[in-house]
Amino acid sequence: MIEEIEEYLRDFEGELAQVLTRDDLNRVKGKYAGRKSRIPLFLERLKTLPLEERRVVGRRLNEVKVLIEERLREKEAELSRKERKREFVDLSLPGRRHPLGAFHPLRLVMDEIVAIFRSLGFRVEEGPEVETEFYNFEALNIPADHPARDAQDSFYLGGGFLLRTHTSPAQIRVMKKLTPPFRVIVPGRCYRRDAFDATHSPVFHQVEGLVVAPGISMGDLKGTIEVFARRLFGEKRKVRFRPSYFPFTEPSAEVDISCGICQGVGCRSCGGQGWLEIMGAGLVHPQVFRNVGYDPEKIQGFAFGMGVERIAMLKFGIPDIRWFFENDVAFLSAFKGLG
Amino acid sequence: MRVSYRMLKRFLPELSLRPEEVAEVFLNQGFVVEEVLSARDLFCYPLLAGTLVEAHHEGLLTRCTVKLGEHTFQVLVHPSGVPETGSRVLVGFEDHTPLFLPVRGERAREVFDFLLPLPPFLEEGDDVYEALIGDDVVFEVEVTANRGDCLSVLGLARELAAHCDIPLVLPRMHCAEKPIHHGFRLENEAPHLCPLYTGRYVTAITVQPSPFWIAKELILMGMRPINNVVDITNLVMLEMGQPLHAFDAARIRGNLVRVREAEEGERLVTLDGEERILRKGMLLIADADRPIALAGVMGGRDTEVGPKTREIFLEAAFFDRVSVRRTARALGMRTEASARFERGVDPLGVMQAASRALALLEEMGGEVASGWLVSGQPPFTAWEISVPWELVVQRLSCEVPQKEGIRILERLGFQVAQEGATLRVRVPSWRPDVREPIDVVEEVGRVYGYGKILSSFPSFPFDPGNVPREESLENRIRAHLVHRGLYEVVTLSLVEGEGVNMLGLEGEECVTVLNPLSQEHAVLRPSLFFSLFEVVRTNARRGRRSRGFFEVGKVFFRKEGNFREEKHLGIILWNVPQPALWKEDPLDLLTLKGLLEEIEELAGAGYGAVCPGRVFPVFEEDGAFVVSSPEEGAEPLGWGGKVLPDFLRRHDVEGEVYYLEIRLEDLVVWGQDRPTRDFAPPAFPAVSRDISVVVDASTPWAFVASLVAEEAKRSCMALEEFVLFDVFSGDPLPPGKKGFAFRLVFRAPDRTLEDEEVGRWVQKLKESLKQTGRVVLREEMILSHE
Repeated sequence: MIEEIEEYLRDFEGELAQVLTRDDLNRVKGKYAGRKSRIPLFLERLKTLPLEERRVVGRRLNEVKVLIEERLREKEAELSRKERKREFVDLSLPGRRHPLGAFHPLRLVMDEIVAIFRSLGFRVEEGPEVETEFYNFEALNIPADHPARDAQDSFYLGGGFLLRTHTSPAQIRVMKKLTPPFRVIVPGRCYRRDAFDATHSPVFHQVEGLVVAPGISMGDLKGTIEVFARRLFGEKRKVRFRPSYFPFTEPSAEVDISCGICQGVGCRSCGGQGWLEIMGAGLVHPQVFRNVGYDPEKIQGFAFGMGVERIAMLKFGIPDIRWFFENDVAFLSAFKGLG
Repeated sequence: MRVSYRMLKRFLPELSLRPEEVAEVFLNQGFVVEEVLSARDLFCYPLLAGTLVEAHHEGLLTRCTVKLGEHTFQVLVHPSGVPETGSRVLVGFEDHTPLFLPVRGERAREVFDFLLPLPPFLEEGDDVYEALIGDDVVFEVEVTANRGDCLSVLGLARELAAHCDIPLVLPRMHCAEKPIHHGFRLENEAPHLCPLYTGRYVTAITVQPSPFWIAKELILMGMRPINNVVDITNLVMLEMGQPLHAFDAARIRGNLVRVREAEEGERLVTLDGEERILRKGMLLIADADRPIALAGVMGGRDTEVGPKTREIFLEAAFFDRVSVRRTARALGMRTEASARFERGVDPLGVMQAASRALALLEEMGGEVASGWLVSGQPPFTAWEISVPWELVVQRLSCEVPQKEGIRILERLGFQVAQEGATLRVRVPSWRPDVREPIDVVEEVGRVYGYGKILSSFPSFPFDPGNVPREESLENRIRAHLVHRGLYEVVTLSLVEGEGVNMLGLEGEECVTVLNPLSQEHAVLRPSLFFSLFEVVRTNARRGRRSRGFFEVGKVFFRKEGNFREEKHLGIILWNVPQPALWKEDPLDLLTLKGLLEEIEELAGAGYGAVCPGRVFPVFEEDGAFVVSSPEEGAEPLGWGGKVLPDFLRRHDVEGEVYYLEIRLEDLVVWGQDRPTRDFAPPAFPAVSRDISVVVDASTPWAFVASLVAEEAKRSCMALEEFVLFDVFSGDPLPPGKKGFAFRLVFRAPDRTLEDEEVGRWVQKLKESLKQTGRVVLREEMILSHE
């Protein structure tokens, strides 16, 4: 009988070697290991053997049974491995996904400016785009027929209304609305009667800033702007203040940052100047305080205003302001992933 | 304002800064140097000394022969511009063409007004640059509107004097006067517009080319030499900032000079040959009969100084800045003189400038009649400002030594008296912009240097408030739309009037700009549609592809006479063949509605009812809707629709375009104060059942949905929600029919529902649907092939 068992094992080994598919394996498994295999028959016959022989044959039969089961498991694992290989995923294929759009670069820059000032404790306010001449000019210490109006040719709507030429009238509105001390920025749209060309647009954006508290000084202005400019443009950039003139600030300053390419030395990209103008600023003029009923002896403040287009042009290296307003997808898609 | 380094040096003999340092000082004190030019950029090159060897009259002109080494040049010159034969004269070359007015870029011409005489010490053929110009440098300086005083060499030199702490030296202003009788009288009928008018009479004038040094300085500063008299008035204006005017005294009728306002329609031919029609109230200078000059703007042609002039009347006056500004603007003639009057000239410098011009006229051989003709007073009262030094230090955030501050102010022309820690500052007549202590602070800071300001950070307790809901919602919506594949755009809010008409909006409700620059930007948009459609058009024209665009921006209109501006969100979807990857995502009216629902959900606003309705005539009749407000009688929340194919074809846009506009401010208001929902997770399981029904193709889903909702309510079913998951038609359904498949989800808050109970409810719902006679259950329908 031991011979028959050995032959049974050899037959099994032979057939197992032929197995290629799971069906083959199931067939072999049924034939050699299941209830319908010859194993139960061998067990039956074992009972008829004399005790001595039964022990030897029984041990062998058990070994063979375990061996067959083990070999079947191995084979199954092997088949599984093979099958997994056939389910190969081509990871170089593009992912299944939705297309993404993009934020507009002007809004990106505006959002970033707002976020920086928010983190510095500034409140965000808005003002109307249709303004009164009074708020836009007189209240800001720019009387009619003043040469300072030359730079701000306005679109008039009649009845003393115009499209605001800067966000500065919001200073007046904010001061009337809030009680000092406060820190506020006002992002918004402005209009000037400039022909549309590479550096001018009749519609543009500004962000106005206003801080009012007792004892505010030029140092406070400088410190705030330095923090802002470095965050927006990068830690390496230098900030330069130089005197200028705005009717609603005194002292007034123009703020420059060092050119990102030459760091202030002068190169072709900054027109050899080394510096790029980013905003106008200054301490709030006492007359402006008087115009809103504040006492300039007791309260001080600083204000600043920057052109968003200009900053976006500097930041992204955009040469023509009109690109912002054309909204060509080829241009807009360059800003994917920002914001 | 242009100024040359050597001219500055004429006022500042001790100036030791190099030209590039001068430019730096200007910038640091508030004067942007727009350009630094070399003298060679302004004169033609080479520039040589020739000799006038022959002058021969030919009719009204003189044919001059100029010798330069072995070359001779023939040139026609006006007789008054011909120096003595044998003089050295200037010959410049540009592209080998001889030029006798040596301004760079000057075109060759047939007749020259004059030959410029050179000092006799030059030899024929000498290089004039080397001998007379040197390597001079010209600064183009931008002067801010408050600093009229710096539209002069004197003013800019004073700035440098303050920086370098060196003395300022004024040019010679003295002349010998002669007791000449001339009989001129002044009448000032408009003292409110001309507080000070002065005149001087000079005779024995010979009008001829200016000496080279005057011509050179004018050219360096951007003006053309004309003749000695005119050049002197111009040079003095550039030196001192005070415009002067010389009249040919012989042409002034009645020996009378009147300052008066114009009558409506009066006419005057100005120096540039234009006939000006004057408006009432414009200030002019007249003689006994007629206007002879536009005060502060330009002289008249008839009294112009010309070759035959022998005697002149020299005007120096202080004209009201607003009056000059208005006149110049009304006539569209901004001149060097008007620019200076507009910003205000030095009231005490008026007669000083006249004296300077007289000194130069005398040098040219003029005889100056003694005595001033004066009307009025210099409009100036001295004022003092008390400035506690502490204020300067505090506001500037830097420890400026008081001594240094005093020195700066004094060099700028302020008189400073020290009273302990307070300065009493007397403001000079040329600085009307300095009125308050803070102005003095700026003066000190400017010269001391903004670079020395110590940075600090303003810290004080202030609660900026939360991020306004409006801003955060706007940003979340923007981000959502970007994630849905749309591009954010920013467009001009000024649009063409025609666009507004095509939307059928009433013209009178729109806000129109009274003085547009072009018809393209003449109306404030009452909707974002034009702008967004224009973006699609631009991209279509350029062959670009996109799923669509959106913009958050203001729209404008008039309501009951008042201006209104509202913040809107505009979305435009563009269904054109897209790259393959995008194919499976359809773009149609329901996509648009889906976006609307997503936005409403983001705002927590609940859904506004979407009803058919066409707001813009560019939408398809059947494909347009209005989103009504949940508030009774309120304005709609938004509107939208499919744009007419005809309209797209007319504008060369292929594909389909869908548009949605939402009034963002209302959306914000709706969503706020929304009661918070019950957060507790449900304790008992839900039971779901699906129902499939068949209806006529024209029956809307809302019909079925409302039946289900009503019945569930009436019968107090624990129906948590029901969701449509399929709409189907075609085989095996007969034509004209469609099916809805929806899932009912039941859940009781307090127990597990029994199967039997739910079964009863579903049966009840099915019955009530059937009862309408318009709904057939899918399972009860006998289909053609069953």
